[in-house]
Amino acid sequence: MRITGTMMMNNALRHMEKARVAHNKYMEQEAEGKKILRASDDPIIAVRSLKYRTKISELDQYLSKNIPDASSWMSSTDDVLRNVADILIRMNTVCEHGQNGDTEPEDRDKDLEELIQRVGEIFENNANQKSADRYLFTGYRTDVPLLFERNTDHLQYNITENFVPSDILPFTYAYGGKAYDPAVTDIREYTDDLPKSNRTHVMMLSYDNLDTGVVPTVQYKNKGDAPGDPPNVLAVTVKSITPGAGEKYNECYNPGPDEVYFIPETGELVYGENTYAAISEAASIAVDYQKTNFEKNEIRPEHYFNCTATNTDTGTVIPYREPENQKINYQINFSQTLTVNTLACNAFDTSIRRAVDRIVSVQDEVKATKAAIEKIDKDIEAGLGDPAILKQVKSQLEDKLKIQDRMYLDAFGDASMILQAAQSTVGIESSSVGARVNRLESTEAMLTEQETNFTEALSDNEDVELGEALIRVNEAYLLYNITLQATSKILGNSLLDFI
Amino acid sequence: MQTLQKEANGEIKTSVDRINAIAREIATLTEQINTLENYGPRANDLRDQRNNLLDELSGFVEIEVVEQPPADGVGFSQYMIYINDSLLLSRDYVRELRYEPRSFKKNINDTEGLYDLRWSDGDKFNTANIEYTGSLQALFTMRDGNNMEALKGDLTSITTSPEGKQILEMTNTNINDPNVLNMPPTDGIVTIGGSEYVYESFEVTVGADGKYTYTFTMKRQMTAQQISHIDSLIAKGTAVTAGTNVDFKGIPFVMNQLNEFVRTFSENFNDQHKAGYDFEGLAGLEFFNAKVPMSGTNYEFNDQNGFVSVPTVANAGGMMVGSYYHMTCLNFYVSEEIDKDPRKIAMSDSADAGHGNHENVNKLSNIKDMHDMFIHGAPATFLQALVSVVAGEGSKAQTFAQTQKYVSLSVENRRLEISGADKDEEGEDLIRFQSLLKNQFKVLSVMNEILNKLINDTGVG
Repeated sequence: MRITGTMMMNNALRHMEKARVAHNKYMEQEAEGKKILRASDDPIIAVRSLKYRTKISELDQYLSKNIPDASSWMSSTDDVLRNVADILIRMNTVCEHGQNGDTEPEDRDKDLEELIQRVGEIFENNANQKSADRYLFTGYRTDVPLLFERNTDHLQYNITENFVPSDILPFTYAYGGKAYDPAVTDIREYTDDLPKSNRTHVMMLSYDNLDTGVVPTVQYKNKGDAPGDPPNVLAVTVKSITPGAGEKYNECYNPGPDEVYFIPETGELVYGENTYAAISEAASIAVDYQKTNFEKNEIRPEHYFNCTATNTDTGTVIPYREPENQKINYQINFSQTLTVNTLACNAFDTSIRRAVDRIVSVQDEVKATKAAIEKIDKDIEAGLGDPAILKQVKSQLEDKLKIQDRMYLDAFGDASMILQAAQSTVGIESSSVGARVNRLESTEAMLTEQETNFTEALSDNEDVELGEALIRVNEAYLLYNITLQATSKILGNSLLDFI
Repeated sequence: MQTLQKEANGEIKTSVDRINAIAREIATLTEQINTLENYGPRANDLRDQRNNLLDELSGFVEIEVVEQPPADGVGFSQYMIYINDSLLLSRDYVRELRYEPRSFKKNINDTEGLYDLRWSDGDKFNTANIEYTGSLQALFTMRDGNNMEALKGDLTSITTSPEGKQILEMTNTNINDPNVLNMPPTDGIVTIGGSEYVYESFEVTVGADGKYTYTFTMKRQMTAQQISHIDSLIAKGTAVTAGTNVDFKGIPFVMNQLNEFVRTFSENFNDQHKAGYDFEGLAGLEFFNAKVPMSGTNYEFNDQNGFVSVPTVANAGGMMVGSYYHMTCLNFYVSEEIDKDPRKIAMSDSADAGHGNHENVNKLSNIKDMHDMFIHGAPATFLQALVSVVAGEGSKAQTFAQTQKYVSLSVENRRLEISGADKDEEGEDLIRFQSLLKNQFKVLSVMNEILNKLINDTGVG
């Protein structure tokens, strides 16, 4: 094969170019630290890198954003639940002291004061808690507080509250006992109306001070009813805590056997014997009632019950549904969500407050009776009125006081039972939070490990090992130099030099 | 992508200019060669020059050179150059190539003013055949390559509208989904029987079987002759194409794939967004939208029953009703209303639930993992597939280029093997002739001496 000088020069040029290209490529690799500069250098590495990077950025989102957010929410919730559990324990101790027969009445009054304070603590300081500007226990409506912030009377709420038969509790009350009226002269009017101790059954609704003109509806379904059957309805009569004309004291607690009385001032439904017998077999009970006047720090109904709020100023009607299902879900892993919130309606029973309300109303009765006795005593001393009547009235009042003292004591006992039930509710929620926190932590650990793995895999895939790159660069450079030397030697000589 | 297209276009222009210049030079050289060779020996220098020019020309286009000596040995020899099977030059006559910018587009994302080539005497220069070699063809293939995905179908009728414009109807097409439709909404072309006709707009109607029927309104009036020609083609049953099919995954292919991605993703995202409720409890709007060209407002997407390529009349809500066809990777953006007021982002899945409900956001974020959104799988997989296709083509091209370089070097070497001059050989010849000369000089001097002796030393007296 004939080789000419031009051919050799071309070949030499080609080799130098190749050496330069290789040198350049390895130098770029060393400078960037990556095996490829463009996707077309190695499509497989490029596509794998894309996949790894997508995965890593997803993991990063979970690890640095979602999981810490969820964790802080749940730890705030956990703190509150623990606080409330402690308060409930304290309240229980106070109740036990209050229901002890040896306690002095003044001490019992002090116990009641403490209970009132503690209830305030539970709802105002704890259940109404915020974390980073979001209310913890109000479900989706994180910008609406749990309690009313000021007295509100322009929102008319129609509330549907659900009960079970065990919510209807026996109630002993002082019935009758005519109040002293100086105009009455016939002692028989008093002896005909002696105070008695009566028993009945009462269901406390979650609010007092309900609207007076509206009759609530009471419906219940029995266990055997098919879902399509209409519910059974009880007829309700509206009464008032103040006895009407011709009515005895606490007449409102004395319904007929087939009647149901509704006392709007105290928010109670009183069941006659037969109605109680009928409803005590029910599977579920629903009561609809209406309340417009709310005081500061009363619970907003939309967080606890299905209700409809009508703004009496503007006429807008807002329906609220299913507050017990408002779960806030955070995505903590690929196709894994975690519920981060706890709902007030699931954790903090309204019965806590109502139990204390009951004790307060009984205490009011006791105070009223004591004041009446004092007045009678003054009248006896001053010699006003008929001494025989006065004596009769006084003894009747003292009997009443005995009954009511007994009621006061029992009220603490009832409250204690309710508080224990509330404690176990809080306990259930607390352990649910604990379980979820555990799950979150184990997910976090797993994801951290995954992130490490993927980062390593990405680096394996696309990074050049620096030592290797340096060696290659030097090798290429050496090769280039050698080519240059070889070329200069070959092209230099020819026959003409020797002429 | 569009910049690359413009660059390719610019290179086409410079290539054509250079081809024309080379042709003219070759013509001049051929004249000179013919003149010289008529009276004397072969004009080797000039022929070498001409061959170098041919080498350069072959880098641009596929050339075929025919040289025939004159018949009967009298007259000038024939010299013809054909490029891509068309005549470029015949002895001293040069048919130059002209480039003219298009007044229409073939793909929806094409830049303005892409060049088509035409001979100076009016014939078209065919650039859609990828079998031709040369960098000019490669530029066209890259610039226009759409992987044979242009709209194709049967032409069923041609009628004339009351305004005198022709209306063509096309059915039985290969595209029945707006997400993969990529012909321009206006100023596009329909290719019928080798001729291109510009349309002004088109309309899509959806048949009962879900198949699309396309109705094109042509831009310029056709002559009666053209109409009757098309009628006869319809009778024979002709396939028509909107645009041109080039069998390469070029720039239009990549832009069309991006269009498909943007449209399909937006459609799925918007559907889920519309199922949610925003801050005020109102149903969600379209999240991703496109801008209507004239007014800059947004579309309302509803293409179940067909659509027009250029909507002109707004619906009752004041929005232009459009199709996801109108959205491209160039004009898609977040809806103006949502852009201005982020509270319109539909995060909640129920109208009255409250501000903490973000169930819809969870569903929206799950869209990125929808495994049946594309044939390839989830959106990320689509893009990965696109990257790997483009990377694969690039890698193929690189390898091909390198191989070609080696092949051409090898051929060059073979040529030089035959024709190259080697210093050593020439040097050898030089030495030989030098010693020949020296010996001849010696002969001369011996002769001189002989003559000297003969004449001077054997003289008379």
